[in-house]
Amino acid sequence: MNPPSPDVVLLMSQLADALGQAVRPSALQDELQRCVTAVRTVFEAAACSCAVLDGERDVLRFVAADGEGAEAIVGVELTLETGVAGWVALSGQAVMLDQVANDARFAPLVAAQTGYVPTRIMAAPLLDEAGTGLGVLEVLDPSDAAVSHGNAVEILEMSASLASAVVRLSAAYDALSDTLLGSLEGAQNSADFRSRLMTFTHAHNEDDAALARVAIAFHDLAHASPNASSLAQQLLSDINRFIGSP
Amino acid sequence: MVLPQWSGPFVNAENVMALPLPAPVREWAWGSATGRGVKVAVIDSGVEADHPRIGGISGAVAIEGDPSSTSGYRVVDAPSEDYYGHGTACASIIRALAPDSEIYSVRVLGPTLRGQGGAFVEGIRWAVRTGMELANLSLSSNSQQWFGPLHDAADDAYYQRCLLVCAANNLPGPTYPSEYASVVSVATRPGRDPYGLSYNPRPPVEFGARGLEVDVAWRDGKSMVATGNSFAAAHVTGMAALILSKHRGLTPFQVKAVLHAVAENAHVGGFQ
Repeated sequence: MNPPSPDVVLLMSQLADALGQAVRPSALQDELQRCVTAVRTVFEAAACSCAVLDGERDVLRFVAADGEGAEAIVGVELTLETGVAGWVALSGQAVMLDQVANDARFAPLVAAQTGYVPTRIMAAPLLDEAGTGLGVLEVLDPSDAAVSHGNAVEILEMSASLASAVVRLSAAYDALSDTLLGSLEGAQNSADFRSRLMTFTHAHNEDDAALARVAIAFHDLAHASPNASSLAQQLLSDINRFIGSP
Repeated sequence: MVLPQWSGPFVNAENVMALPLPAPVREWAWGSATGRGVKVAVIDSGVEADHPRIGGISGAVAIEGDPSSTSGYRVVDAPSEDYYGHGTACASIIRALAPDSEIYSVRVLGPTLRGQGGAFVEGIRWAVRTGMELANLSLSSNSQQWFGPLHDAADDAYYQRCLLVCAANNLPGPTYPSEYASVVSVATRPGRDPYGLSYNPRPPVEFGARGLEVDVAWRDGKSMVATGNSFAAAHVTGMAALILSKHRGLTPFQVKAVLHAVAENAHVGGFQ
């Protein structure tokens, strides 16, 4: 069995390294944590949290939170038909509920579980490019002053849009990482490695297919000539530096 | 409050030319009508028939997978229950506008408001087969796979005089069948008048109706205030039921023309 050539392995490891800096789980977690902290501050709220959808299981998982009940809510999973968060993720529609206890969507048991039961909830969806729900950004008890100007929901929607970009980027790079690792694993030789990458270009998921095409482009570039290989490595080094720069 | 997608053209709707129906046009269109005698299918997550704001419905079916049938689906009698609350919300709006309309629940969605495209098609075909004059579709598919089958079903409905009133998706992107010319496509417009209606001369979304912070019925006898194009479509279904009960036998394109004529930005004689 012939493993992929050292050049290809080097290229792929550099690519994975470059991307890894952007996608390591702690980076996503940190970004979302900074987001919920900032949103909570802006709205002078008791708490803010972010839940991300696990589409295979139809559950929302709270991945970041700040304020009242934050420790208790992180890690909690809710089915999509549960709570205000589920409604927002399903409908793609932001809400502001001033008396949430009277609302049919409110899940009081989940709130009680965190030790904090809010009066007012604002929530906005995280959406992918096609408009499918990726998650929810939720604010508990924003202050009267913070919501009095009438644009509070729009501001929250904008924050959710930025948060969704982080989640989408992370998911895309995770997919590329999976593609590369899946292709390297068990490849008989360089041609086989390319063939395995090709199978991903027929993936149903357009993100996976596009990313696989990028990987193939680097692979082919590395084999075109020594100069082309140097160029590919230089390009990846530049990407690496760019991603690593503050 | 943030409007759903597709609502932009209704914020300052431009004036359009209306057909010269007898004035006052709304009185002519549906004055004193109650929806009596009009069969309305609510293709959704089910309808909670014993909800106080629904007050009973005329029938309920569900679309289930059936590998032995040619379509892959079968229609079964179903309890008058709602798996989520969305269908009950839409039915409550229709009931409020057209209290004597005959509402039939066609359940095609599950507890997470997801359903099979084939079940959706079969639900439309059931409404056509059983003589429904109206079907409220506050749901849509963004799958190219179902573009053709839904298009065929929508055309059949049009030819068989079953008007499909379809909500545009709240989210950006394609939305079927609401983008088809054979249906009445609806999004939310600003305002809280349940009979408020605007026309958009730049389709695919043609009509704007109330969908902003609407007080609706929900599952388990509850109510809530919600925003979305789903509820705008239900308002138009209610108005269409009134029109059909007053003017029996109108075709889908005639009903659409009457809706156009009663739109607030439609003016006889030109663009004033």
